[in-house]
Amino acid sequence: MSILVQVSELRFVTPEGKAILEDVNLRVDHDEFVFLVGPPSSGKSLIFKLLCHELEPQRGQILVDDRNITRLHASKLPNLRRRLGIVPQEFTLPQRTVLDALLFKLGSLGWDSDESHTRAQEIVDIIKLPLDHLVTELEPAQQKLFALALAASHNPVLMLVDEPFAGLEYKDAQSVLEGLKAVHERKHVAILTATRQRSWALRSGARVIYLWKGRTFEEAPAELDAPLSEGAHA
Amino acid sequence: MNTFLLRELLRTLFTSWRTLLWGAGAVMLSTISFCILAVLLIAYGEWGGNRLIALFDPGVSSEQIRQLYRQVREWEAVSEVFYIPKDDPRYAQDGVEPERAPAGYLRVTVRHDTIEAEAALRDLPGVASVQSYQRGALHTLLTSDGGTKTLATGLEIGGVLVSFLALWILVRVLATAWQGELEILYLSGLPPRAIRWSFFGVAVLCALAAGVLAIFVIVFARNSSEARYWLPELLQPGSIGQASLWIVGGALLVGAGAGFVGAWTIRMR
Repeated sequence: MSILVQVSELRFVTPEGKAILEDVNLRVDHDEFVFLVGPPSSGKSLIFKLLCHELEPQRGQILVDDRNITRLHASKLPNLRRRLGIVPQEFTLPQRTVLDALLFKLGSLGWDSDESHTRAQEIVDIIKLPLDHLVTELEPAQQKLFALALAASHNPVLMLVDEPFAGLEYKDAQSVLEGLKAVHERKHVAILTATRQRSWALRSGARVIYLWKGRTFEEAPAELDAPLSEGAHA
Repeated sequence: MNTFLLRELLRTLFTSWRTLLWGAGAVMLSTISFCILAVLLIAYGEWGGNRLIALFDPGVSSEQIRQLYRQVREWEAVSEVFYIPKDDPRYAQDGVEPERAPAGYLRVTVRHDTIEAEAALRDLPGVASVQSYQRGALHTLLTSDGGTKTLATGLEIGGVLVSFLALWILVRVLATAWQGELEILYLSGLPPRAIRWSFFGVAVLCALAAGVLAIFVIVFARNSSEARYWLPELLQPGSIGQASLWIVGGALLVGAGAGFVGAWTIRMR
């Protein structure tokens, strides 16, 4: 598989001078399912913000499809974001039905009505959702799945999914994991999922990268076990 | 401008009670403001200032009227002259009392000085009296003292401000109703500029709708007895047309200003 995202020696320091990321290196291939596991406040969401260029690192390099996006001009930002499917940990839900929200997103990106309907139906076939239900009235797990469907609907090359299991019961978290796997398998999209719950990452069968004290590891450092087990409920 | 977003914003405006009420309120306030502006513009304007009305002696014959018409038409100082019979629609525009001109009258437009022409018309055999164009009560009121004029200026400025504020608030209300949609658009990578232009478009469209409504109100009100007393200038040719141009221009400016300020202060995330 060819490399989609290559992050090298990334360092990020807050304006107050606190180094959140010291030396982050990670790679995501095309059509790969990867979990980024780390304790709360370890910088997982920050890495996502750097990947979608909401923030700029002080050092290091981010390549997406061999294009350096580390210092991206604001005019190029929409092009980058259109290649990503972003699922934030929390976001404001629209007062629309599932179908209407999907059509709204696709229409705003320039898809015509017929094509939007086809794509909305396609993604809802993958992630089982009731098309005519108001998004705000869905169950919490369904709302997470809706966010996933919304992010995947325009065929991005990379999905960034932030804490999809946070605050969910075991059964709900299970259905979200199944949704993630279904999107990965049927849409052939690379997915980078951030979570504090290692058990779900291991259960997914995806490759796991660990984030601890501002550095990334292929194997979980021994001292990471205690903070991670605190957040686990499965 | 993303026309899909503009359509969706308008759909939200009409399908949610809250936004519909705010939208109707903003358009209504702007319509009132634009009506005030139009009325004051027309009242201050110079309409028919060089026009004279020649009324005939009782019992004057048709042949005499024809002779008078031909004679006046040859005068150097006269730019146009019309014989207005009683059943002509222009009869009502000039505000001539029917009992004073049972056989109709001559409407004479002079090039420059009305005083000389008025005197010459009065000396013509068969002409009973000559009246110059009568301004409305509003014009008289506005030009009577400084206080009224200041009040009118205050109304003009206040009207524009109220319209601006109402449209700006409408944009904010729409943005609040669209928090979820704005999040979707932001995450989809739509340029914030494209999103803002759509809100800007809604403000301009609402302002234009208010401007057009104001023009309709004035056109429909022109024949009322109150309008004839306060603002007979409404019946003068060109007065509504010119005021309409100003209103549409003003509506565009107010809508664009409110839309710009409202749209560019929307927080995307």
